[in-house]
Amino acid sequence: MNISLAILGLFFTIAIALGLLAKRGHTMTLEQWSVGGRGFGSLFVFLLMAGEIYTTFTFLGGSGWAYGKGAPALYILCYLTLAYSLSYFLLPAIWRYARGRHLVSQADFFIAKYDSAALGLLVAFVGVAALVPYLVLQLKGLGIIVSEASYGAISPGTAMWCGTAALMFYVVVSGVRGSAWTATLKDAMILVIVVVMGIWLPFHYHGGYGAMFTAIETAKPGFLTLPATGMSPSWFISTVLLTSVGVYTWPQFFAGVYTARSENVFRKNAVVLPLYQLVVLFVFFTGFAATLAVPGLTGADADLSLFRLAKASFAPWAVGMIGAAGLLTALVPGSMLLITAATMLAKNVFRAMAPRSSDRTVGIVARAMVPVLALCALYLALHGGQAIVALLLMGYNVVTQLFPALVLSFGDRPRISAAAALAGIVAGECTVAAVSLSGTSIASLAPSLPQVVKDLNIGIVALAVNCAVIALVMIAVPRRTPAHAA
Amino acid sequence: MDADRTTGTRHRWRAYHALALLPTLGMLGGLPLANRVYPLVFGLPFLMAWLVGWVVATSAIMALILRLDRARGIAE
Repeated sequence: MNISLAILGLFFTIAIALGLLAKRGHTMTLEQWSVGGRGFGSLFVFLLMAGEIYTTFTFLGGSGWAYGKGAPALYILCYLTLAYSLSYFLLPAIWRYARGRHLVSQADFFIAKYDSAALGLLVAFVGVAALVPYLVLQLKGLGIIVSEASYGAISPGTAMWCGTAALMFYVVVSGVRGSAWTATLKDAMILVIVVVMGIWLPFHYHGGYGAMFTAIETAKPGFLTLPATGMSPSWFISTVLLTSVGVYTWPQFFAGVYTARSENVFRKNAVVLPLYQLVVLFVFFTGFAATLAVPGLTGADADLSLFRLAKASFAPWAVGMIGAAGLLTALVPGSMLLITAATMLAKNVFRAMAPRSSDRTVGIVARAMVPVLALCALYLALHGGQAIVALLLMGYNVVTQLFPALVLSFGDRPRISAAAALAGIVAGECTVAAVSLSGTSIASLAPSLPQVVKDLNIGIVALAVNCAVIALVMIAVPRRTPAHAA
Repeated sequence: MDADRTTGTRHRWRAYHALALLPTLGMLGGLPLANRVYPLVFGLPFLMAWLVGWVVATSAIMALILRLDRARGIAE
């Protein structure tokens, strides 16, 4: 047994123990399990909101993009920042509306706003369809991280099995409290490890940042700027705008918002989170340091660059620590995704079919859905082929289709009818599926357009179709005057 | 809907809330001009430094909005 494996095992055990201890002193009603009884203070809400910054996607993919693609990786820094500026206004409004109505899921929000069970069902299915591939991605990342950090002693498959078992166990017992407790450990570790790597590696290999970037520009001219075609400024701007509005349409964020004790925490977060996520920069530095130090990884292997460089530079115990931090970047977001998907299946799908079931039954169903969802995700992670990759690429565009209906729901009453919202979402999702599965881009649709237009993110087309259908339905079918105007 | 009214905490838009659009306009609007490697800023390529600068500015802008909201009793 090597030292890095022992360290991985130690932190894995600590994470499970924290996840289980989190339940102490709380009776797990559905509201307690899904949204922590709406009693989380600033620190927990901050950590749950910051969870998006360090998923396995940013840990492996962020360094992988910097390594393989260069400057386009910077979009991650930008879309999160703009999402936080939006959050200042959006999240307090969502929180205020949800608090008095005991909402526990994103679908609940749409049901209450639009007074439509059908819309709730649609939102629940859209949410679960986007969450499951995201969970699969976390499990796959976990497999890669543990197998790399253990120097191959544990295979990715074994690691995924262990990770899934641990997740199911503490999620069923502690719900979102388990996520919050493990998130404190995760953020503390990742901060230290990423900053140390991002400073030490460029200085060790190049003597400093300026020297490193000059060397990269000499060896690979153009790598540190956006290219004129493809991932051009036009691609960058459209992708940042799309993904920044998409952030808060992810259902796990609604659940995160509901956990807060007061709305003011969101405003303070909007000030602090842009600075906090600058730590992503150090992940990029690691990826950039790897481009010259461990060249030759292509395609999906680019995501291994962080670990390849770490193993070439550090002692096994340090690699074990990096792996343990990476392990937590899979477990914490994974647990949030599981809780959110299970809650929607129980509250918004099961209860829609069995309206007379008690709150207690719905709570039991929610927890029973956890192993079902986790094992489905595990199966897809182990055996899913290209279909999963396609689903993952679609995920962001899938949830973003909820954005028009979300924004138009604010005010004394929604500005559009439930039918229009429903039709818009369906049309948007069909467009996402059609263009993603056929690999369409704006360039292939209309090759004669100027390059600036051709490089736009195709997700804009789906959002445009969505909005157009909403407008059409509002014109064609005038809204009934609301029966509950009083 | 009624609950929003009775709690008296509904969002009130003020002119200075438009400041929140600055990060989007500045960061992305200036991007085509900032898309260059040199001059390095604190050792970082110019494009990266431009974006990092806007991240820091975003935090400052949101802090200013929070301060103004607090002064008017819109935020605690």
